Amino acid sequence: MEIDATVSATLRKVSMVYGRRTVFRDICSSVESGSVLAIAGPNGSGKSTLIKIIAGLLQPETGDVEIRFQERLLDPLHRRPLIGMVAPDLGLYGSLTGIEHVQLFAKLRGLRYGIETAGELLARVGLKARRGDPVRAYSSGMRQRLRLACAVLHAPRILLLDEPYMALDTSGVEVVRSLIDEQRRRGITLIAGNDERELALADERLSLVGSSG
Amino acid sequence: MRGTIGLHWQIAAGLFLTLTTWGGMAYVRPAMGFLYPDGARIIIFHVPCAWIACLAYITAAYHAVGVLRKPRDWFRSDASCEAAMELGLLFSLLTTVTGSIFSRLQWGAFWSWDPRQTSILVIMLLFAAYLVLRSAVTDPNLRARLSAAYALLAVVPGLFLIWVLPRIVNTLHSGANQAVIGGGMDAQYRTVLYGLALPGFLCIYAWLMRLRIRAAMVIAAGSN
Amino acid sequence: MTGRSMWFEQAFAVCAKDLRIEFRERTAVSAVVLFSVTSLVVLGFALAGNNLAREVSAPLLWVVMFYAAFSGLAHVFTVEEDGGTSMTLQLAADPTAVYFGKLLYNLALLSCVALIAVPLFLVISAVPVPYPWKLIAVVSGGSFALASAATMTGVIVAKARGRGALFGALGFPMVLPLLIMAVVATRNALNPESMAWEPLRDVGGLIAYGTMMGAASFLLFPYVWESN
Repeated sequence: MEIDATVSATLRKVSMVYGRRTVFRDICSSVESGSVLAIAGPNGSGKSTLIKIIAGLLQPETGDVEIRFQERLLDPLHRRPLIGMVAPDLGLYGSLTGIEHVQLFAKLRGLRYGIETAGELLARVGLKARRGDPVRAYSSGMRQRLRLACAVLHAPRILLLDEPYMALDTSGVEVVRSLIDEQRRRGITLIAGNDERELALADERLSLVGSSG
Repeated sequence: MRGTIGLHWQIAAGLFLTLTTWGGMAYVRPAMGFLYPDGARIIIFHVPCAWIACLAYITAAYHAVGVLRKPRDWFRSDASCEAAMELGLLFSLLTTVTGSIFSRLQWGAFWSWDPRQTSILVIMLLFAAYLVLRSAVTDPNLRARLSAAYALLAVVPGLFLIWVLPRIVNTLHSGANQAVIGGGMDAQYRTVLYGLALPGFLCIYAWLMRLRIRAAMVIAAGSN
Repeated sequence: MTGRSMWFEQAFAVCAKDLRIEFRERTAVSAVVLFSVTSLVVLGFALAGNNLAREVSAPLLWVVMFYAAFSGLAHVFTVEEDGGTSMTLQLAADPTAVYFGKLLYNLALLSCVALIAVPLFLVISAVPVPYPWKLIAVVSGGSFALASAATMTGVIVAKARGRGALFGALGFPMVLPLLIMAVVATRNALNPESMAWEPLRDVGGLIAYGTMMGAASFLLFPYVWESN
């Protein structure tokens, strides 16, 4: 697949305030197709908040996030199909199995995933053997693998990874690496985290300083 | 507007309400159609309270739309919505109390489950539930959004209580209903009601709204 | 796939997911069934073989329906908030489709309540039912209106991280008009004189209330669902 240079994300003077505390102020940045941006910073500097703002889950206090796809500026309503996201606080359904998760989220995205296709995706993230078990019985690393599978099943143009290495073993880390490599050919990747191994995958880095008070 | 918080509203409210009191107590004649003709004077105060409660809800709904339409700078709309809802609770309470007194004089019981009484009771509950919801949420943004949605959802029971319910339950106590809705309102009552009480209550409502919104803005500015 | 059929697919997927989870965990159903059975058994014990007047039986039936519904219907959203899955769902699905799916699920749950509570109530209270189809129509209309009102209240309560007490406080004024209508309609449906029955007023009012609630919720739901 050729590099598809038609997606871009631009942050314009994005600030976030929780009550009296300013989390970050006037963040400006831009990412183009094919590149990977790392968001670094100490605990509480707002990395996860920024990821959620880009995903459209939170509204910034000031500024805005512009997402362009095929030269068109997308309003927040039309961003959903383009975005895939992994974050520690994205919950999973304890009594559904891995394969049911993949099929559910595929259906919500308007895709049809048979048992076969869903099984292949789960095999790719290393959950082949446990795909029929309810998620309640999964370890935290396995849950993280399932989150990764659900985030990429619709081939998103923008992949948002908040602490992608959380709870993952060496083979899990490899899965994330290969997903990012694939994403480079498809669009944008944003990685937020503290782990230097995660941040090393990126081409550019955006550092959040953390709140001073 | 240093020092003078809507002074003209205060003066106008004082003037009109003084005249309303004179009009209600001295000018209008006792209504002869009633069991206690002098008791009918309470209508002069009861009816404007009900109007203001309705107006307060309409104001609140208007500002609730404002909150939901504005992703940012919703603070003033939210404060206005809350102020209107608080005043709505106050005036619906006054409506209920004055209505109960009248009901006791006219029908012998403080509460007779007339459809109008049921309506005002539920509307009062709606105002109270809105304030309960606000007190349950700590995050200001979330609180503004949830309570605005609740305020607008209340349109549905509100419309039903005002227009549909009296028609459905009418068949059960039509007598009581007629006496409240229609009845012997003569020209004197109407003059005092529309000429003095309505502007007086409107002024006091406007003054209280301004006062309450300003207090909310001051508190917010102080906490930042 | 066109936009509209995809929207319905999303809504049905949400509903099917909730039904599947409920089938495995049975939290809401057991709460609802336990509530209706307990309250009806207490009622039966208090009656001890005496018959209930029509005027009393209609409100009693709806009191049981209301509390049974409210013990189970908020669950559908609180479970998403507690498990952190509401954000996962927000990322993937159209908010109005989520609303519609949840409404369908609550309708299914409430039908289940009605199927258990109403026959049990009729057995215990020994109220004669002259025209069963009238009662079925009223209970269906009332359940629809109740589900419609409770679904939107449920999401507000779940987002507020509130529990049963808040759900009761917020839900009661929303459902009171429909409970009054349902009580009047049930009384008319149980009346052996067919003159008392006016379908347009008795069932139509309930359906109109449910539809208006549904329409208002449809417009307001995205604002509530997407506030994090």
